[in-house]
Formats: sequence, C-alpha cells, structure tokens
Amino acid sequence: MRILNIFKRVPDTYAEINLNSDFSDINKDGLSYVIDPYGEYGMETALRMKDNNSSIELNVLTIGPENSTELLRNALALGFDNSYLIKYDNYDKLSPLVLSKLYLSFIQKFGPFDIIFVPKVDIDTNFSSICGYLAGFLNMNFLTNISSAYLDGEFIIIERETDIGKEKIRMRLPVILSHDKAPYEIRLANLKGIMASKKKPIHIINIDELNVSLENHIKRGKLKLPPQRASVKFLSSVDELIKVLKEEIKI
Amino acid sequence: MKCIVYFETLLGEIREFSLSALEFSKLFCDEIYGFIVNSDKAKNYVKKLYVLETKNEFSRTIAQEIYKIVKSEDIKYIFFASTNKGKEIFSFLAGISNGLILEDVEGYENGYFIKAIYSNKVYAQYQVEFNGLKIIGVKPKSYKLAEPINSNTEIVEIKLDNANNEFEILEIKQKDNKEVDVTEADIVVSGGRGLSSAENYHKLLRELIEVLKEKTGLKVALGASQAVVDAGWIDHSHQVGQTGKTVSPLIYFAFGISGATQHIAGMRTSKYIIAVNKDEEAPIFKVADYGIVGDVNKIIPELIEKLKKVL
Repeated sequence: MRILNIFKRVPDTYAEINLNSDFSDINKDGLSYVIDPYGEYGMETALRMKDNNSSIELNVLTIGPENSTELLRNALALGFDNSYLIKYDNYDKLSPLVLSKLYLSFIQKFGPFDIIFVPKVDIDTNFSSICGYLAGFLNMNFLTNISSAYLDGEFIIIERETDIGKEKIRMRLPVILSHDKAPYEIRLANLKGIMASKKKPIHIINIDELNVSLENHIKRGKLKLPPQRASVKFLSSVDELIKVLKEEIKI
Repeated sequence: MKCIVYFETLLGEIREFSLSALEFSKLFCDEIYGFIVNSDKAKNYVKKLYVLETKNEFSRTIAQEIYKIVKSEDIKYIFFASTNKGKEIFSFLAGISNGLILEDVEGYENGYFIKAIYSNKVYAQYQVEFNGLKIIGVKPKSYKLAEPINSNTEIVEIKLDNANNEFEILEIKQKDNKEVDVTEADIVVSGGRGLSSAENYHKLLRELIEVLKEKTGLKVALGASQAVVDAGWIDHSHQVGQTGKTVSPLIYFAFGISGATQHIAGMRTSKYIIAVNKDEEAPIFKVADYGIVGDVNKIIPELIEKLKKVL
C-alpha cells in the first residue's frame, strides 16, 4: 500500500499579512513558512495508518523554492519514507488548474498511490479545488473535508462533518481525500525520528520535467487589505449594551 | 449566454445561498437553467429546471449528470453557492470537463472577480481568460437573494437508478434540528477561554442564545474559539476562524475571546462585533464595534437577566 500526502508551504498562520508598495503581492519580508495546517492533519491520519501497518509506504509532496526541503525533512522525521519537492519559486501564483495538472503529472510518473491526501483548502490562495480536479482527471473515488479515516481491507472508512451533522462513509480504494481539521492532535517529531530523517531521500523535481503548461487562466490582479473597522466604543455597563442592541442595532 | 445555476437543498429545502448564486449569474447570462436534485422547489426561479431523481446523491454522480447537460446545451457558465457540498461537486466537474472553477467569489467589479485569500486576511482581484466551461462559486451571504419569477417553468426530469458499490454511507448523525449553524445565523454567540470551564461555556452561552432567540425571533448560533475546541469543550463544527468557519452575521458576540489573527480572520466581516474581555489590551477590541472590559462570567448572567426584562 502506497500513500501520498500533498501539503502546501504557507506563511505561518499566526503572522500578520501586509502588502508590498504596489499592491501586487503580500510583503514576504521576515515571514516564516510552515506546513499548512490541513496538510498536517492529513499527514497525521496517514501516520496513524502506518502505526497499525508498518508495511505502508508514506510519500510526501510539496511545491516551492529549494528551501522547502526543510519542511519535507520535518515530514521525514515524523515517519514519512520518501519526500518530493517540485522546485518552483513562484508557486503561490499558480492557479489551481495548473497546480492540479502538475500534481497529476507527478502522480503519473511516481504513482500509483492507493490513497492521496490533500489539504481541504490551500490557505494561501484560498482555493479548495485540488481534490476535485485530481479526482476528475484520474476518475477516482474522492471525498472532501474529511475529519478522520482508517483502513478496512480494500476499503477506507471516513468520518466527516457536514452541514447537517456527521457522516461515516465506506469507500473502495483507491481514493483521493481532502482533509479538514482532525479530532486528534498532531504528533511532533522525536529525536529518533529526526536522526532517521537524515538518511531518508528528498527528491527534487524541476518543474520542466513535469511537462505542464504554466499558463494561468485566472490572472491575479491587485490585492487590498480588508477595510479597517471603526475603533471600538467602550461601554461601561450592561445597561449601555442593552441600549446599543435596542437603539443602534435595533434587534 | 446559456448558464446553469445549481440549487442546493438541505433537509428538503432550497438553501438560501443558492438564490445569491442565481442573482449573481444574471450579471453574465440571459438564459438561465436550473439544476436540482430530488426536488422541484426551484421551479419559480427559472424558465427551465432540470430535476435529477436519484437515490444516489453523491457529488460524483451529480457532477456527471450536470456535465451531460453542459455538453448537450452548450453551457458556458455554471454558478453555485460556495458551500462544502457545492465545492465538492463542482471541483470534480471542473476536473472531468477540463473546466475552470473559481470559488468563494464575493463580488464582480470592472471585469474582475473579487475573492478573499490568505485566510480572509487579504482580498484579491481575478481576471478569467478561459474559453472552456467556467464554474463560479458565490460565497454565502455575499450577494443579495434572487426574487422568484412568474413563469411556466419547463421541468426536465432525469431519472437515475444506478447502484453503487464503491461508496456507502454507513451512518449519519444528524445534529439537533433546532441548532442553527454558525454560517447561517443572524447572531453568533461565541465564547473562549475567558469562560473558565466547559460547564460555564455551555450554561451561560446557551442560556443567552435561548433568550436572544425568544426575544428577537432571529437565528442564533453557538460559536467557539480554537482554544476551547482544542480543549474539548465543544466540537469543531462550532469553531470560528482560520481552521474553522467564516461567518458574517448581523451581530457577533465574542465573550472571553482574546482575538488571535486566526480567529479574527473568520468573523471580521460581521456587521456588528461586540466583545467582552477582562483585558482591555486584547486584540479582539481592535475589530470590535462595542466593547466591555470585565469578567464574562459576571457580565453574561447580568445580560441574560436584563434582556429578559427588556427587548
């Protein structure tokens, strides 16, 4: 059994985001980059599968500049077996269609995989279509926004939140899944894992090797920050709050 | 221009968000067809309505049926409400049709689609240059609702009776019907660490919600910060913020929530933000319209008692 986890290299989620002077991009000075949170949850679910069956091969893929290898090294320290970087500096400007075609080309070269995990949304571009695109291209079973998953023979059992509650679903492998937040905590690498990671492979793939046109059909124009909200008006009592609710907001 | 608008249903009713998508589609299309699954409730909104009757409401099946219509009717645009279900169906349709999907769109200005990026911390303009099928997801609550039209709607029924052995729903746990989702609420009552315990969180906030519901008749939902979800006080479906849900209610109450950027990203577009926190330097006050500096565990009970008497 082979599993592929795809994550996105994103600015630290606690960072304040500012724009550069011509509003063409965010100001990247001093930003630190992390594995996106939904990518991390997908990785934890994959690691849990390997905890129960050590013969599973775990692969991890991301796209980004050369120093993205630091993040891949973290994944290897957690227990992933192989890691791959599609090297491309302007990766955060690629439309989801182009990005999905790059991932598709990777999967065709290095696959097949029985399970592919992707983040439910790329939190930098806010696009959430990679899972559906890949499932459509590959004509594969798929499900979005899963909370957790475990293996059951040729099937996978998946739980997820929906707009009316919770669902438990059984699907036949192979599948592609987009991961939401999981109900369990993400593990941290231990010293043994960190030592072991130094001997594990990081394969660097030049974007040209994937033979995908990088022409974006969605062109990003100017950026702007959301309008500043008016400054807060402090109230000194609950009575004043009630007056606001009644007279200003008029509920 | 011929378009399809997808009407999403939830528990047998059309989701209001689909009517925003319909209204938005009128900027681009003069011939609008509707598509709905197992319902004819959208018939007052379009001249022609495709109704898929199936026991197999999987996104994949729905996408494949819509794609058949796209090909036979030469459809150029599809519009849908950018919900999780909508995004699941249409990202797959984009894949099988080699189409282009742009979801969570909040507006259209001077030829650019507007969409929030970096977890709602930034807005971006997007220009679409694409000859194939364009699929646009309209973010809930970002556009006004379409009015019904009076017309003799032509209904085209599609019956599908295919078995599926790839995919099986084992269990559905439906939440309490009276419980409103944070994304659909007019008022969100949200709590954080400042409530001290899970017990206080549930007791105080739920009581306040009941009073607000009774006194205003509005839809009121329970929200939570990431900290209290991680602490296990309540499940993730209530979480507002970057790894939770994005909300834009009329009123957002933040009780005992300090206001990390991750939380602000999920509620900043609320019409009125009212924050109560014992720390007057808490970042939540940077986005709040009204604030009270004080202990939420004393202020909420007082608010409940006084609301019962007035409003």
